[in-house]
Order: sequence, then structure tokens, then C-alpha cells
Amino acid sequence: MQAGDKSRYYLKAAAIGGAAGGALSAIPFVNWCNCLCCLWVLGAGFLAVYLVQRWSNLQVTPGEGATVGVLAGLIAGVVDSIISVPLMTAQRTVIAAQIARMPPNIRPVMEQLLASGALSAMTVVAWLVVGAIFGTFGGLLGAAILSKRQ
Amino acid sequence: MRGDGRAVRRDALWWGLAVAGLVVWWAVIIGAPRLCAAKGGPAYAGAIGYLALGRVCHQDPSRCLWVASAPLGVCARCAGIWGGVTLGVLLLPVVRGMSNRRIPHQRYLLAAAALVIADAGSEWLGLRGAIAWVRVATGGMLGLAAAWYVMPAILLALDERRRKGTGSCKQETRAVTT
Repeated sequence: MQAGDKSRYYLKAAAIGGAAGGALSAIPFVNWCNCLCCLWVLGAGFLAVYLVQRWSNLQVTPGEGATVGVLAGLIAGVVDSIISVPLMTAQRTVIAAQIARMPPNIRPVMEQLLASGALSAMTVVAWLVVGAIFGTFGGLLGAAILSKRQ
Repeated sequence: MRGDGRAVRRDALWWGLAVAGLVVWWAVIIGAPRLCAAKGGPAYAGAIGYLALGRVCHQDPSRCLWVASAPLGVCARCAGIWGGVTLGVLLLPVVRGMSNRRIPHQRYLLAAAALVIADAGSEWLGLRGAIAWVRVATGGMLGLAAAWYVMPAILLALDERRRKGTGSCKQETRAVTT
């Protein structure tokens, strides 16, 4: 089997890994695991690599891991945004309370963004960027850890 | 021999880019909370940086390290992790060699993660109070270990990409000449 055979699993694996990571990132309390270096997004990339390796029965190289990981991270960011942004919009009082707990030098700009409605858009941009970065690391780590020792 | 020198220079370039990336990341960690206090564009840039870091960390001000009356954009443990990653990347050429692509056994990463879990778990169970330096130290061990997995993996990924690129170029040349 050639490496090309693995690539047909990329999107499916990234979709499953990304959906799982994104959904877990959106569930209140469960999403606290993201506080450890974006664990669910790293996990999304790792899971996607694991699935490609399992379905293709071939070892995933770090380059392939990075590709699958970035896709999984972006999908996790999209899924999380789809679930979280409507919740954020609906729960303005909760968000306002979160902002009130922020350090005093950060509060004014966040309150301004919340009032103008730009906070959700900025959050989505920030999450997609972080999703792409950490998803790639998750894929790289997955390929490194799951590789069979020679 | 000449090829070897070129390969080492290429690895050094990627290592330099990784260091530059970490410098940018640290600039966001230290600078974003400060920029938020500014007016106009810089404040919005700071807000995006702070929100992005919020995805990676809980940012509880009471658990953050404070530098010159402003908190870092991440908590003490995360600061330790990123400090460890930075130290790991900086020490990599000295300790393991610039072009070393050998990925360590996963037991080291698991051991470092176990230290963080033990620290967080014992605090959560109320066995002891929060000690900032312990969080920084255990996070630092995990970051250091992670850097030594991720950097060789990045170099291997780039090798693979280069091999693919060279292969496709050769095939194209052959197709043109025949």
C-alpha cells in the first residue's frame, strides 16, 4: 500500500477528531481540560492520527500527522464556535461576570467588545488560530508517540 | 560532505524559526494583558491575544505570575510549560545535537505529565495549598519533555516534505525530457 492510500482517510479522521475535540471544548466544566495546553485540541489531532493509522494499517509520518492535525484543529475550532458562540450571545450576563473577574487593565476593552458585539467574532478568530497551532502539535505528537520503534 | 553542511544549516534555520516563534509567543503572553490597557487598535490586538491565550489557559489572575503590576496572559503552570518548551528548544542543539531526529521513548513524556497530574491532583484533593513555584517547576518539566518530542517530529515532517518535493520535481523533469 502506498502513502497515497492514507490520504483518503485524512478528512474523515480529522472530522471525527475535530468534532470530538470541538464538542468537548464547548461543554462547560469538561472544557476546563483545555486549560492544560488546549488538551482537547491536542487530543483532536492525536485522535485523527490514531484513526488514520488504524484504518490504513500504515504508520503515520510526522508530516502526515501535522497535516491531519491542522485539519482536526481547524474543525475543532469551527465545531466549538458553532456550539459556544450562540451560548455566549445568549448568556451575556455570564460573560459579563467572567469579564468582571478579569484583571482591571483588561476589563475595559473586553466590556467595550462585549457591548459592540465584536467579542464573539474575535473569539472565533482567536480559537481558529489556536486550533490550527495546537491541532498541528497534537498531530505531530501523535505521529511521534504512535510510531513503532525500529 | 557539502550536502551534510547544507542539511545542518537548514536544520539550524528551522531551529532559529522555532526560537523566533517562541519569542513571538512569549511577546503575546507578556504583552497582550498590557496592550489591553492601551487605546484603539493596540487594545483590540491585545484583546485578540488575550482571548487566544484564554483558549489555552484559565487565566485566573490569582494563579498567574505578575510582572511589574500586570499578570502574564497565562497561569503559573502554563508559564512553566512554555518556559520549559523554550528551554528545551534552546538546549536541544547542545544536549542532543542540532540534527538529531530521534524521538525519545514515550515514557519520559508520560513521567513528566504524571508530575503535573500529581501536583494538580494533590492540590485539588486539598492535600496542600497552591504553591506557585511547584506549578512552574512541574509545568516546566512537561514543557521541556514535549519540546524534545515536537522538535524532532517537526524536522522529520520537513524532511518528508522536502523528499516529496524533490521526488515530484524529478518526475516532472523526466516527463519533460521524455
